[in-house]
Amino acid sequence: MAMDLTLDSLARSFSETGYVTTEDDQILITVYLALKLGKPLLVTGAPGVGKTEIAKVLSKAFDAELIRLQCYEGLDEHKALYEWNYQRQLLRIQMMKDSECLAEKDLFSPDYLLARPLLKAIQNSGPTVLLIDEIDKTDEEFEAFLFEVLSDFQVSIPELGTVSAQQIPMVVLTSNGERELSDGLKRRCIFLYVELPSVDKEYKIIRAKVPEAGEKLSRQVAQAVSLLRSGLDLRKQPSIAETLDWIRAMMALEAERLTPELIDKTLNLLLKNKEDRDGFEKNLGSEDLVDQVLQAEYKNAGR
Amino acid sequence: MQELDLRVTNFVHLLRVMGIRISVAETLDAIKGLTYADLGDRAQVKAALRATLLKNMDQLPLFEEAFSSYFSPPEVKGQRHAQRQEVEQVQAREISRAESELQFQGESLELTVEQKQLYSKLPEEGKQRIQDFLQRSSEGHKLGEKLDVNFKPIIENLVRGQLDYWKRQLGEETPLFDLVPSGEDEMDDLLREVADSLREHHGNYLYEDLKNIADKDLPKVNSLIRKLSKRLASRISRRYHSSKRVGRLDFRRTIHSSLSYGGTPVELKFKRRPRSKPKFLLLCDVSGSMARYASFVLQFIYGLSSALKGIESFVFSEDLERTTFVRGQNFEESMVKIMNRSQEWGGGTNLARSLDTLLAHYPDAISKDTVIILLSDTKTLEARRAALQLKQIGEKVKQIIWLNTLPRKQWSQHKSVREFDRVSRMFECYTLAHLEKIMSSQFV
Repeated sequence: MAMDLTLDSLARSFSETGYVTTEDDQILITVYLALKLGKPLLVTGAPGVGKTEIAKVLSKAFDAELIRLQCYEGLDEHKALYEWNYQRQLLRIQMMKDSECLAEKDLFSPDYLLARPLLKAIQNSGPTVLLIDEIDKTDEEFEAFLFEVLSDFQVSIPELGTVSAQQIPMVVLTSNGERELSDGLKRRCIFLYVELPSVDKEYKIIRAKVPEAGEKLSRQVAQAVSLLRSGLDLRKQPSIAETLDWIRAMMALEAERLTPELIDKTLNLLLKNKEDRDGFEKNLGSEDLVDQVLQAEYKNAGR
Repeated sequence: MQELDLRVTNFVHLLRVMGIRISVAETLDAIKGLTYADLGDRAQVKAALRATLLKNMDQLPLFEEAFSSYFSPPEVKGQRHAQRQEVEQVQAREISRAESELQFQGESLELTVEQKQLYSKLPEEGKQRIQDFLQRSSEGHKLGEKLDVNFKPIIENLVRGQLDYWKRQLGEETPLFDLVPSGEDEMDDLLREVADSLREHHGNYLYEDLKNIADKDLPKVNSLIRKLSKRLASRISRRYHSSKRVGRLDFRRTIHSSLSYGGTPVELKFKRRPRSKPKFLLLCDVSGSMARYASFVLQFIYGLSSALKGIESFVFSEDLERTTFVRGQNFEESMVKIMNRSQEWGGGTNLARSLDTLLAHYPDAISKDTVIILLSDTKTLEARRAALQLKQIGEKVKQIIWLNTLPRKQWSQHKSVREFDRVSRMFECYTLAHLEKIMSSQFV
């Protein structure tokens, strides 16, 4: 798969699945390199910039099964790799307690093995995308265990032997950067930082995801969100998903262009923090925001 | 192909000199990655190198500037080479002039190249004063006899003393943006170029001594401090969150739960691993020389206090005062209250007395889970006694972290630094870049 891959074919696949990339964001070339080098792709960036989406796009583009490991505090190898179905084993023992033909190996057979995402990805015979989401939420011990699995793609199960991957899965790890990841893990990955989008890129995303919104409103919303991100010292920057929710809310109100009243009615979908709302009222306000959006529009039209 | 390998390994060397950690495996990835990129496309080459070599986004500006400087067109490189030669010639002339001016009875003084260069940078009146001194000494008498060449070492020592004085007066050189010179001319030229570009494009506030931060940079600085405190708060709360991770089998609970299954242990119960969250105790020196640093660090602690419970903060100069922030209180208002109320702001420093007060009035603040963060330049009265007290306190707490606002280069000149370095974990901390580096390290 990676052998036939070219940068152009990857760009086409991304575009067909509706994932917008630009030359500046370096997403395509980085994903391409990760696939060509057969290395895990570590994607970081603020929440809501489309990190997880990359794995989904790869799964669609290569018609690969997406196996997701959602990380959380306390996740351990039993939940991530495999565990024995203890209750089922007990049941079997209870059922067979009067019979003498129950051997230990019967209880530790693949029937009683609960494969968790990492083992599933290794065992899968077809193309696979393994998404390890929010790796920064796990403990450091788990991270160390993980990079051992990711280097060899094989697992030793004492009762069954070693299981090796039939086909190396494409691995995408995401992190919101809440914790510094270990050097060991970062070293083994190709690194991609996804930034919040530029006005043009966000406009393209809106057009791709909410085509029913007119060109004018889409451009104005993209501009307004960009002004909010750069002009205010926000505690939580609006994500792309929030921009899309905002414009969908405007569509529900049958809006065709941005107005101060419309912003007042819908801004809760974009700024979800009271301090950010207060900061917006104090330092910018909906009328000024619309003014600035219009000014930017005139400036662009004049170019 | 070999040319490509060489270019990449030299670029990696430059990045390493700049403080970016890159392993051999990553270098190999970069070289292999470039074979899949269009080498005629600068953007692709940059993206390939960035994806394989840069794993910490805080270092992105460094990488960007290093890439622009290193992969610059040949004419720019030629210009750089010419500039270096010019600088070398000027330096050689300056050193030779210094040698001819710094003589005792016709013999050049034995001074280091650095000292000669320093001499050449002195204002004319400074040079003149040293020359006058040498002139008088050359012709001077002791006990009626003319000074001879045996006095030369004494004269040299006196001149070195004067040069040291001027070194302190002239202050530190413009920092190389926290980039440490490598000693290789070509590399240092690149470093200098990177530092200039960083200064031009990103401002110097990250690497500027906090006491010199310009008012125009304050919003950016405050925003960064808030980000740092948020990052540390989330790391602490996550790391010490009561973990679901299980320990050994809990037989008592397992047997108890098995009763509902007729004695079969269907549900296994495990013991939870106990983990205690650290309690922070900040001691912030607000004496005259430290007040400006303190305002930034207090802002950092305020950010932490907004996200984490149980942070005690104190300011001290001649004595100690409690300033613990209340959640939900605005920082500016809190600071105004603290400064208006405080008897200590801007006074002299007596850490020993302050620690006496801490132990006498706030003994509960010290426990085995306490992490003490102490911000001070170590210049205090009764330093010896304070160090002994800290040693005793250190035995009762988790750890003592000392954020020292003196540049590390000066540490060896201060006895007090050595005293306190023995009883605490000391970090150099006079710029935001230092604070950021400390926060990124696993310091708790």
